[in-house]
Amino acid sequence: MTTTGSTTAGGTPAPGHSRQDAIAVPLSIFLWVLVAVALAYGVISTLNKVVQLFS
Amino acid sequence: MALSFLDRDHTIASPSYNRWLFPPAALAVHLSIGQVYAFSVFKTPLVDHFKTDLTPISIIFSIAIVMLGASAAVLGTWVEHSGPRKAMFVSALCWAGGFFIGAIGIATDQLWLVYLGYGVLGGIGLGVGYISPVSTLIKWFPDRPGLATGLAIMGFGGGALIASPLSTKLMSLYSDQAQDSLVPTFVTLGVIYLVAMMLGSFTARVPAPGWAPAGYTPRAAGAGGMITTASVSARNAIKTKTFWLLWIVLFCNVTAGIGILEQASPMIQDFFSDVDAEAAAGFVGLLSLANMSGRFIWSSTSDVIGRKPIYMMYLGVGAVLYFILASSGTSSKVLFVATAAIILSFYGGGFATVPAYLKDMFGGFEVGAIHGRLLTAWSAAGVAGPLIVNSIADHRKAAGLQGADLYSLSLYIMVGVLVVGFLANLGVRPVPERFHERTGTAAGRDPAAAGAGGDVDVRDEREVRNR
Repeated sequence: MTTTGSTTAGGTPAPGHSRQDAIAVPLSIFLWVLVAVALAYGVISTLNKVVQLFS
Repeated sequence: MALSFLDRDHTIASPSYNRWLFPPAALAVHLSIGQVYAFSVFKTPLVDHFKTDLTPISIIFSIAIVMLGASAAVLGTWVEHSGPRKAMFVSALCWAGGFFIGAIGIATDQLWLVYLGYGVLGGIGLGVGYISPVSTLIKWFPDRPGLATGLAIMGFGGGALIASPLSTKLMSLYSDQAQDSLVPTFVTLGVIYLVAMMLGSFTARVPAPGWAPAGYTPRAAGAGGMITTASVSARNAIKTKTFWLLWIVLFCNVTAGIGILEQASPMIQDFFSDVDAEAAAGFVGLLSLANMSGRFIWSSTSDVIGRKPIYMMYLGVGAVLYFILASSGTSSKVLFVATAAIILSFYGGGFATVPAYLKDMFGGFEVGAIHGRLLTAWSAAGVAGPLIVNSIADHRKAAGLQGADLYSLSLYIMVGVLVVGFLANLGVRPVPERFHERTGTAAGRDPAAAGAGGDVDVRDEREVRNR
């Protein structure tokens, strides 16, 4: 996925944004993992119940 | 200011920031607040604890849903201007605070504190949290707004799938008697959601002014004018026929979906005598999965086939499916389950696609605030849907009817409701130019627009005017 490129001028990222990015990137990746694990837990728990409908 | 790091200006990402790092922040918030759909697991323990009827306990959920719509409508503009980080931060405090105050209410046997905590405060957290990432997602993904909002709003559907088994586990962990474990369970859930939502808040970033994905060129008033390149403010949006037609579309779609969702367990047991309560719980679980996956699948599909056509499918095919359910639902359990699952996937899809539909019709300028105002349709449908199904079922039961006959009339009514929504969707037209923001106004008046693709909107508007 391409994610970069400013199309127009005039934007000023926040002061110290590089430092913020350095924290946000690993934290966001950790959140992706956390969200995936939580969703998998929810889906598997639900599928266990769904099986009972057709058993 | 100690809390200045929450300001929108402090959340602007560098040009090289990967936009795929924002969706987990949105999902963390939506998965947390989606717990509200699993509130029913607390109903029986709360009834036992407060030694009261089901109705006073059901009011807790109703207050939360009404506050969701009200706070999204009232605070939508504030959320739009403050940016996702501050909005998610406030949402986290309100949502977790609602659990903590609710726990105090349970511990002190004060039901009104539960109303105030989980209902009012938690409901505000729901409304602010629900709309907080929507506008930013659309600005990070101007090329695929349906996919982006579908991903986040899928989280709201998925929240209940996680909260339901988690809450049951916590209650059995803390005590043998569910009513005795409510306080620690509420506190634990409050802490979990506070941490998850704060993580989301701190990682939330908005794109730099004028940022756009490489190679992206805004579609110039595409799809027969059904994708605008202009900007419409929230204040002007509610003066347009388009907004109110979309309100009716959402209201009808949600009313029809809630009609099944609310009565799913007793409905399948009344339709098929061989289905017991445990199997019915499986049916409810299947509907939840359909609701969740429909949010992502159909909303992403709308990026390809367009917003108006996909709502024609939700409402038109939905009406046909409801008719099949009403006329032949008892003939086959597989047919009944499959039909209901598709209907629920359309219900979820309707929720997830509407922000992108609003962006198409009103532009990205204040789409979060407009979305907040539109969510009042959800609150209204949350009252209308269950009212139609429950009152008709009660009335028919009193008349001596039973089984599928309890629901057939309400299912036919839902066919009519969906046809009304279908017609409203047919009437959706581009917003007249007199409601458009003047060139430069969108970026000049609103820091949100300046910080999140506002330049793109205004530049596009100029193109429209020159055409």
